Order: sequence, then structure tokens, then C-alpha cells
Amino acid sequence: MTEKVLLVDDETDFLEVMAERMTARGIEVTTAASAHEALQKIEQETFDAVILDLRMPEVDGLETLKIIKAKQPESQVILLTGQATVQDGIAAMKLGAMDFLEKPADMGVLLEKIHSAQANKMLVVEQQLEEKLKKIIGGRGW
Amino acid sequence: MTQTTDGAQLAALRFMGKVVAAFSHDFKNSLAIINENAGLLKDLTAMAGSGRPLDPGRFETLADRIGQQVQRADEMTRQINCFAHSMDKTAQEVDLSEMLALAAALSRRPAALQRVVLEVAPASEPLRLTVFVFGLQRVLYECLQTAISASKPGSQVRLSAAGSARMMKVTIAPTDAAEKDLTPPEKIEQLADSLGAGIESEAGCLAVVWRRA
Repeated sequence: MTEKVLLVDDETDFLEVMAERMTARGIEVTTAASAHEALQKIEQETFDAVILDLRMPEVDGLETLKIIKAKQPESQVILLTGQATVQDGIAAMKLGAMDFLEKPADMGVLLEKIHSAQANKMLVVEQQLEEKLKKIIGGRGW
Repeated sequence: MTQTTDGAQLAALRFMGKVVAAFSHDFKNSLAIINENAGLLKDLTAMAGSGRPLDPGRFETLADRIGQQVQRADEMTRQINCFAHSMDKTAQEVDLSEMLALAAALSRRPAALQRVVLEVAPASEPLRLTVFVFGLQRVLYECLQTAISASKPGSQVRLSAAGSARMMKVTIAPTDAAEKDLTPPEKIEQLADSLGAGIESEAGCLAVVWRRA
């Protein structure tokens, strides 16, 4: 099954080449050069994984992560950054990031994370459906 | 060592830390772009191995992209090297326009994060000044942070230098600030004073002024 990935980074050269390499590996890639653009795209469609730069103009990666998780708790967000500190990593994981990678990242490792993200998301969505069903069944006087 | 001295040294170290962190972030971005372009070259070579024809134009584009990033990283290395040498001597004769170019480079990342562009207007003639360069850069950095924070996204901050027989002046002027008056950054006046300068807030901009007796 083709993975759908949203790649968010203010370095447009990076976005372009990453998108090309991922597409060549059968991934459906959408790009966003800012947090605002990413949040707009998330409103319009769902993704198996969001790969997010930590340091971006105006709204940074952690703030963007917080908004994404509030809007779509099932989203699987992988932070990819050139300025990683242990504190940033801890903050990101506390906010619900799936993983945290440093630039330059190994494409093989990133692809593994994307596969895991897709599997995680399917699991979370299944759990959400199960919860909904339980509520519907529990709410009726059979 | 007094507590005040400790505080001043800590502030100077924090300034250095901020500058180095911003540069290392940009270096990492350059390396990441080089890494992905090199990866793409490998991908294309592997595809050629399985029968897909090689496109020389594509290789040229990728080589150009790598070259651009090498140039970017080389420029950053030159700038951080200049900054590292700014503490070699307590007094060096420098050209003020060159100092403004370095100050803009040191604040490039914080400006980009606010979507503010820094523009340096070189002086029409060389403006020579004997100063502790590290201290001067710190004063300019703090003034620039004030101007950047006050600026609206998409606007510019202009740095210019002018001199006469009676004074030398650096002006830091936001083109579109949220507030009309800029408050000079706290705790930096004393440092400016030690450089023989004063910080003035005038008509929506900040100025670092050296007055000659």
C-alpha cells in the first residue's frame, strides 16, 4: 500500500530533492515550505506520516506538532532537524511525535520510520473505530 | 571575580552560543541538501544500471545544486571564522561597512525565522574605526534582535553606516515595525559605553554613535 507523506521544511531545495527521492521509492509526497502551508494541507487531506522540520519561520516545528496532534490525534509526526538538542527531542516526544531524526538523515532509516508510521496510524484508526462502535453499541438499549 | 563580572561573561558566552547554534543549524541544512543530491545521483546511476537511460542535463542540475550548497557552506565558514577571530585583540582597526556585513550574517538565521530580510547599505567611503570587534558585534547583534522582533513578517531591516569629522554612526532601521519607537536593548548600553559609543533611539530606528571630541 502506497504511503502518503507530508514533507514540511523551509529549505525548498531540500524539499525538492527529498520529494523526488521518496517518489522514486513509491511514496506519494506532498510538500509544504511553512507551518501555515502544512496546516492548510492537513485540513484538506490525511497523511500516513508528517515529516516536520523543527526550526521554521514564524511557527516552529514543536508548535506545529502541537496543532497537528490537536486537530488529528492519529497523525504520525517525525521530526527531522538540523538543530537537535536532547531537550527538543524530549519535548517533541512528550507532544506526541513518533520519532526524532537529525539531518542529514539516512534515506533507509527514514523509509523504515515511514513504514512504521503507516502501521501505527492504521492501528490508531482501528482503535478509534472500535471505541466509536463500543459507544454506539453501549448507548443503545438492545 | 564579582557576580556582575560573572553575569557579563555569561551574557557574552550566551551570545556566542546563539551565533554558533544558528550557524551549525544552517551548516546541517547545507549538508542535508548535499547528502540528498548525492543520494539522488546514486539513485539515477542505479536506475541506469537497470536499463533507464542517463540524462546528462539531470546530472548537471544536481552537480550545480551541490556546488551552490558548497558555496553557501564556504561563505558561512568564512563568516564564522571572522567571528571567531573577533576576540583576538581588544582593539583592531576595521572598516565599519565590513562590520555591518558580518553583523547581518550573524543575525541571518533569527531574521529568517521572523521572515525579515536584512539589507546592508555599504558606506560610500571606507569608515575606519578602532574597536574591540567582538564587543561591537555583540552590540550590533542585540540592536538587530530588537529591530527584528519589532518588524512585521515580510519586511526589511536596513543597516547603514555614515561618518563625518565629528562622529561615526551605524543606523539599524526596520522598514515596517509594529511600534514606532524602538527601545534600546537592556544591559547593552554599558558595553556600548566601553566601546566609546552610545545607543540612541530615533525616528523608528536604533543608532550606535561614536562622537569625536
